[in-house]
Amino acid sequence: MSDLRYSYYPGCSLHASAGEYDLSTRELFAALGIGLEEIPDWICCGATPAHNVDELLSLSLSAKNLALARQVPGDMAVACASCFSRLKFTQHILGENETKRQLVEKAIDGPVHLEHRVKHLLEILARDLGLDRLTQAVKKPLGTLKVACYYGCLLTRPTDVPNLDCTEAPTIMEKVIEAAGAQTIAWSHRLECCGANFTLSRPGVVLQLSHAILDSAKAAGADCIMVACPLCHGNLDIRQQEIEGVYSARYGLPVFYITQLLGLALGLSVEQLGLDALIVNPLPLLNERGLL
Amino acid sequence: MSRIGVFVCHCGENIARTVDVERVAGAAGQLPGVAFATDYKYMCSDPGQGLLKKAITEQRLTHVVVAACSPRMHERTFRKAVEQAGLNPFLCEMANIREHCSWVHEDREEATAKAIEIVGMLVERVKRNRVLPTITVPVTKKALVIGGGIAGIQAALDIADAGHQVVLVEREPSIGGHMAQLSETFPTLDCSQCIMTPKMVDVANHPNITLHTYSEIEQVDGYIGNFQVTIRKKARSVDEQICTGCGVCLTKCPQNKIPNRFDRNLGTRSAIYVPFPQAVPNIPVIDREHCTKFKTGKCGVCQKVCGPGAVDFEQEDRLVVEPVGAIVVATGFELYSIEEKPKGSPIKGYGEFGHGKIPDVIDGLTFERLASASGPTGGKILRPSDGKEPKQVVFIQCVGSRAREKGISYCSKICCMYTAKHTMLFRHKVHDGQAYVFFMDARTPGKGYDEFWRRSIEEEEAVYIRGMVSRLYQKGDKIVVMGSDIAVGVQVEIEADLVVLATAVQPRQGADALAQKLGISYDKYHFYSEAHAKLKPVECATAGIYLAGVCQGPKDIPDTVSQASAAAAKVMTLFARDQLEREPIVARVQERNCVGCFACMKVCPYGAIEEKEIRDRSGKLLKTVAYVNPGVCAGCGTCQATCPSKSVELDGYTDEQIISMIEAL
Amino acid sequence: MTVHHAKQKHDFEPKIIAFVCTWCTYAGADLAGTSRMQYPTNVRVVKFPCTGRIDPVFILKAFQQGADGVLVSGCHPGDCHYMAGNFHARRRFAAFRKLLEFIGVDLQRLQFSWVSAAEGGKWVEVVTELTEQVRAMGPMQEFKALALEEQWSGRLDTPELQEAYQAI
Repeated sequence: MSDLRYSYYPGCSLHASAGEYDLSTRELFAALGIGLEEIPDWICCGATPAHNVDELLSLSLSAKNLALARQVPGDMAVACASCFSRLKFTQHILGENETKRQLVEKAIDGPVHLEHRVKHLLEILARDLGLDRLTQAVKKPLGTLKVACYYGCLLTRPTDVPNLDCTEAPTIMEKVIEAAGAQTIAWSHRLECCGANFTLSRPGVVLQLSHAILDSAKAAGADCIMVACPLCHGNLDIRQQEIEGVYSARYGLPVFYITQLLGLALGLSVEQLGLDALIVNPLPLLNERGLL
Repeated sequence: MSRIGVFVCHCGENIARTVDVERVAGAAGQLPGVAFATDYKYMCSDPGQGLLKKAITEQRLTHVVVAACSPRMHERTFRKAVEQAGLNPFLCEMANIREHCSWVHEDREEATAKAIEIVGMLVERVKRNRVLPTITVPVTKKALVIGGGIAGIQAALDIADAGHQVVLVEREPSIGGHMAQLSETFPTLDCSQCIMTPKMVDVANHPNITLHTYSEIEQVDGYIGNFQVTIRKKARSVDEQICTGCGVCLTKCPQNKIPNRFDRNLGTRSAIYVPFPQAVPNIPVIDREHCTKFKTGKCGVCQKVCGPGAVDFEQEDRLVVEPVGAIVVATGFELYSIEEKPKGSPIKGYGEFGHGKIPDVIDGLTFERLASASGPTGGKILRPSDGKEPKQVVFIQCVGSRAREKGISYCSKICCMYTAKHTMLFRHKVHDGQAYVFFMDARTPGKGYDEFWRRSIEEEEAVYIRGMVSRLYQKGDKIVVMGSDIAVGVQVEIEADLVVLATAVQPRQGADALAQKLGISYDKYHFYSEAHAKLKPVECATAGIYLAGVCQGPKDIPDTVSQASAAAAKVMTLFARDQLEREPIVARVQERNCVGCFACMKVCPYGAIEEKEIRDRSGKLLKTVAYVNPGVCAGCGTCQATCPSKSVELDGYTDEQIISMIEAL
Repeated sequence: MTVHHAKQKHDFEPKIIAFVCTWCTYAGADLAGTSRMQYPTNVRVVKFPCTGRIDPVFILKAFQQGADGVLVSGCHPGDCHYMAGNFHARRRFAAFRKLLEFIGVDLQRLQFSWVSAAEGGKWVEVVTELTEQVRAMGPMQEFKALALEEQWSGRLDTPELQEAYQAI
């Protein structure tokens, strides 16, 4: 049993299209003995429309969440790359700009709390828990699986805001999944944008960008892609079949959340990890590699 | 009793219009200690100075106050006149009643009252002025030049040609520096080797130059005119006196697959090597790290084949001490590397460009070696990964430079021009090749430079894309360059065969350590600081040390050579006299009162303060006190204000002088 | 930019002493002169090679000698002719200000500024401002009272003091 405890901010996606990310996160943390308590009454972080149309609104939403997080002991654990980015941005901007801070305090009708530490799941796994302890917890090493770790654009950018890892050459995802015994591949599009929320307004852009990512992962010899963001997952997984149609390609690359792959290594079941909810069916691959 | 003379100048109408000069002279005449006071239309004119000199003699004046313009204007003039009349020049002071009074006030009554007070202050001050002898320092007429690149070579040759001895110290086994690595040079495209090697040979043959290659500066003591420099001659394992440079050892050495650093690791060399065929001196060095003899004790082939018997495995580092009078620092530069930097380094590499792990992403200097006729490919442009001729080459400017987020905010100055040159050289050698250049701005100030740049576009058809590159990645045998074209506002992707990065120019590793040995200052990037950005661009703030070349800031060959010659000229000016004379405004320690806390030593910006032992006749140490070296002290007086026991005094600005001025109010 | 003030008589003309370095502020004041700018006649300049040479004692001495305001001015940080003298001065005076405040000197009477050789206008501004500021404050009394107290008044009556006083 670990003594780590976090106030959990799932964000809207994890309560909707990315239900399996939420499920697998809770199951994984329970299996690792890490305390995870959902923040009561948390609200949407506004990503990504809010900060593009009204900065004050966007900052206030995240500031409110930071304030709410204080109800639960522990640092704030965030699963979604977008929510993570907004929370980090809010801390960064309000820390530097006194005027904006005052405006936000007026808007949320309370003080702004910037000291609360916001952590992405990756940080918790790689640093707070530590790679060694992660390896110790592994029951079924993923040695046969070649994983393309996909960061997307928000986890590490811009320089000096999320401070998760090196902006242009991060390794944290690789380190975490290698700790579970998997092989990782070196590939070119780890940090390119998938098109994110353009998926609804300008799907053509998303198809083009996600196609390049899938193409590059496939060419590099990946068995599957691993992500840490529900939007990336939506574009690469849900849209994969459509992309194959448009670009006359064949990928068949299952797209896992990091928590799902780690859960597998810890011996959790398909149902516990919501693997059956993925659009590109991962079960044949996992069966073939003897991981089920 | 002092007999002070006060001379009030009208400066034509400039002072007399607002200040009643006669009243000032009258009031001055009443001041205690003043023996003579008068006014005159133009004190600085020949008759004015004549009047001053005559008064000194006739009135037997002991001190002089000239109430006129600013001392910044004419202090020198009047002190000279006073000296000609037989007084010590430092017994003359100027009361500034023009710039600080008549020109800035309109009310005649108030201005006159102020002028009288100013004169009163200076009269009190001058009473306490002491005779200050001019300080002379002997000069050793031998110069040290650190660094044997084009800057050091030029400076050494100039000084040696003027007839002075020069000691040239180079860290590498050969002189030549970066210029020896270049292929052709902008804006004339003359071959670098062709213009460089004759100069290198001149250095080797010059009777006034002592060359220490494969050597480093160990320690520097002393001050202007009188430095003691300790040079570490690293063990070459080859006796320089015996070796004939026949080169048989190089061909017989079995360890011959060592990457050649001179060729940017593109070619190979043996364990006993000269860095390049035109090396000066043409004497090999054994690279002990790679030599089989040093690693396992077996081999020794080079020793066996050496006819004259010059190979000496037992050789050790030697320390040589050279007394010199002046030092020219010309340590040059190295290129920024995009590789991942160790933790704690303020410089970040470029992860988005693959941290240097993509073999066909090279830097500008590597491209020079590819293009050089004496390079590892014989001047053919062949890419490092597979030796194929690249057809599409992308050049990326400002890699590291002007990139605050990477840790460097300055412009490296030479890259715009050398990239333009690279596109030309590429086109000359690969006729069906296409060069693309990603750039922020093209900076081409220099004679013939912009014309040259235009030529690369108009005649050699290089495609210039204004915008930055966000990512490079290997795709098959191509490198995909993702960038933006901000002129058109689109994203660009180019599949290149070779990518050349114009990486930033940085000072040499260890530039800071050398600066600390020399006692010169450097900026946050470790470029050495000149004494004044405009008016003293080659002098260091530390007297007797001069700068040449890129160690002071990025510059191209013409600028480097100019600065090197300028530094040499400064050295020759210093060597033109046997004794060095300087203004005697220096600090002096009252040894009786000094308690030896050395607070002064910590604040002195010049390192002028030393420890001095006071011993009695039997040699017993009584105490250690501070001693100000008058050759080094620049006279700022910071030590005096710092001294807790008031034991150090700045001549010309003693507490007594200052307080007397305050009390005169 | 000559500024012509309508001449106005004041009841109180403060005495201002300026301690300046020769390389920057003295030259800046010279420039104000060559540019024929106008400023009050109250300031008296004492020239130093560098602000690093200025001992806080001089400031005390100036106040004791009846100065109503003191200005200390040198090269801008980083521009020191002697590389670091003005930094030493800055640190020294930061501490010294605290001390002055502690002993009851109104810090409005003491001004530190950086005036470069190119800033004739700034010199005029600084001098004019300080003069007007000190004029509004009236004469500096604190040290005069102190100077009087320094003479033995009999109020501080101890045998040692008495003996010492008589020994003078």
